[in-house]
Amino acid sequence: MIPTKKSLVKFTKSNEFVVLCVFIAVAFLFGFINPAFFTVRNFYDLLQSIGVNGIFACGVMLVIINGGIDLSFMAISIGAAYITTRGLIAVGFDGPIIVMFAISGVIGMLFGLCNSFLISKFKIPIFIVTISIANVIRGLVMAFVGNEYVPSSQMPSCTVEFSRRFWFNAVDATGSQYGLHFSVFITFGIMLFTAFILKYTLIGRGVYALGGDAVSAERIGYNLKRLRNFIYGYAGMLAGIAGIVYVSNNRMADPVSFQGEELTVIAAVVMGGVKITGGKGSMFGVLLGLLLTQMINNNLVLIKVPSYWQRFTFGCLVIVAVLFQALRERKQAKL
Amino acid sequence: MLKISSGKKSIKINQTTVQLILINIVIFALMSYLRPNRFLTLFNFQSMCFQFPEPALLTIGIAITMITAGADLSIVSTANLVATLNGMLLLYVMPTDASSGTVILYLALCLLIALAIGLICGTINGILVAKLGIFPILATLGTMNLFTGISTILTKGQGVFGAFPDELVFIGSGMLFGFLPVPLVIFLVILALVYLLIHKTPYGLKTQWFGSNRRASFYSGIDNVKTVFRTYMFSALLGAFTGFLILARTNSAKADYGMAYVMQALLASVLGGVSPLGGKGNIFNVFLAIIALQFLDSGFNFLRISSFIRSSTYGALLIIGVFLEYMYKKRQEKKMVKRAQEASPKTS
Repeated sequence: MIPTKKSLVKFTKSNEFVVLCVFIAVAFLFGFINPAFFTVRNFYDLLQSIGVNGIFACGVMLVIINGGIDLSFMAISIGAAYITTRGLIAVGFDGPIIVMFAISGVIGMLFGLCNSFLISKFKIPIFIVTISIANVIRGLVMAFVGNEYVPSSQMPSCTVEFSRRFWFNAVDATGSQYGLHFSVFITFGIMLFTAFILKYTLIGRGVYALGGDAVSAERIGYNLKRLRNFIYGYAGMLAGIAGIVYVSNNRMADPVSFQGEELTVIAAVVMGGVKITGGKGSMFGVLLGLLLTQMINNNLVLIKVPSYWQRFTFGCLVIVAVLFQALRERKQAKL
Repeated sequence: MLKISSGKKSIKINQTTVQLILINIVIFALMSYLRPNRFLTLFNFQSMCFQFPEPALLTIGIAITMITAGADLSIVSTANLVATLNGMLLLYVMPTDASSGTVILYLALCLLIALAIGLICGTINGILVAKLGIFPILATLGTMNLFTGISTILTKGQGVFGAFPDELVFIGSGMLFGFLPVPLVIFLVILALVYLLIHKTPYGLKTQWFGSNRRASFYSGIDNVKTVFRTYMFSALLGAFTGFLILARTNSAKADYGMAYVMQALLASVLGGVSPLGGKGNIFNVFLAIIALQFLDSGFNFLRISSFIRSSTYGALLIIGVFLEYMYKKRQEKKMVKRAQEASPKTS
């Protein structure tokens, strides 16, 4: 995939290019105001903070390209992770963390398949289904599995060990050690995998087709039901995996986590150029969107903006991004 | 569908209405049976009447935007913003020993602020959704954060608390003629106005037509942009006024108060027969659904059911509600096909 001149020119016309420019501009702005921004440590921090959201974003991206909005991924995530953690503690589990990932992924996938079942069979709007499933999962988990959080003393040892795995260690100016946490590699691995599926497999192209026009996709020969199962099942599985990363990093499993934070991920995906009406979007754009949102969130403090400005800034960002997308589409439609 | 008429006035009663009245009776009976000495008291009803106007008004705001196949998720944030501004006005600007007349003047000023904020928020939403065609859920998610963010900035993350003048407290917790809660009266007046707006004015009909079929309404010459714009404007105005009521009743204002109301509002709208895909919508039915949910909520309170189980019940009910509507539609379609088949000449 060596970029040719033609493909580079094409790139400059895309949404992703605009996001890239904005990202570079904002980065320079931050760095100008506070040079502490340009350290490797800050960069590592940035990569780490998109860890969990990055995994979410892959799943959310699939749903949005498909033409819907998923508000349930966070509930699925913490639900699956909490069930897994409590269940494994109950049986005295002491094995490798990959087992936790696997179990949580399967539970998440099952939750996701509930979504796709309701959407396919009963044609209930995606927004309603996901917001209800989110509430139902949270409620059921609290009711039947328990509503106390699992403190770090009880967490399985593999999670504690996982949270301490750093690569590319280095020592910064003050002498304290820091490094890139392993979960970043998991996130990037998943992103690459998802991008590969989207671009080079038939089912991945099917996601775009379904988002562009469901009827046409069906006529071409895609089985819509199976496509939807794949999309929501995959998103659910990713959510489950992300949940384990989250509870490991925080060394605690609290079933009320993630409330109200769905917009962060959705905004990052939308800002990355994924069209909200579906049919268009790329992983690179999503990555840029994630970096941009996290960078702004993390570094407002660096430029001395008080924390209670965060929500407003974020809302502005989302609106500007969506506005920009809409205006661009209008201009393109007029051509 | 039958119409109950008395002279010029009439209320539409259709199958959904009958179902909702039945649901209300069932829930009422169930809760009375389960907790008779708590649920079936005048005190309970009075406190319900004080409480439910706020989520009810928010529900109506969301319902009218749902009729246009959208949803105004920012309505609660608009309410909180107005509550914050009004609270700050009354606590920090109004002199503490103001006479009754001055207080009333300030309250009027509060209402003016509410009007202004409603117009501004409504305009923002309207431009995003109507003029620019942005997905309503995404746009209002953004404005929700925007408005909440402004409230957070204004209060530096804390809420607005303090001693509010008696006149304001009366609006929120007082009773007319000794037994009619003021918020209830206000709510009923607004309900009647919105009902007239949606069902008796050309604008109201246009929203229903737009929700049913955008293309058809466009080709009929209806200005879709204006219709949707006005819808989000009305929704924001309702939210703004609710903010004033929130301040009056709770004597406080917080940036993220009542976020759980959004789920309840969606549920009440859908149960009230408003299709989330747009088109159908009967304000009276939504009102009945609101009452049913209020009984349910009150009953849950007395049964000591935790709020998480509550919201998951609402979530499940929402799915069931939409599912039932889907089944109903399917049955209607089957009936129509059957009727058409029987009416057509036999070919064999």
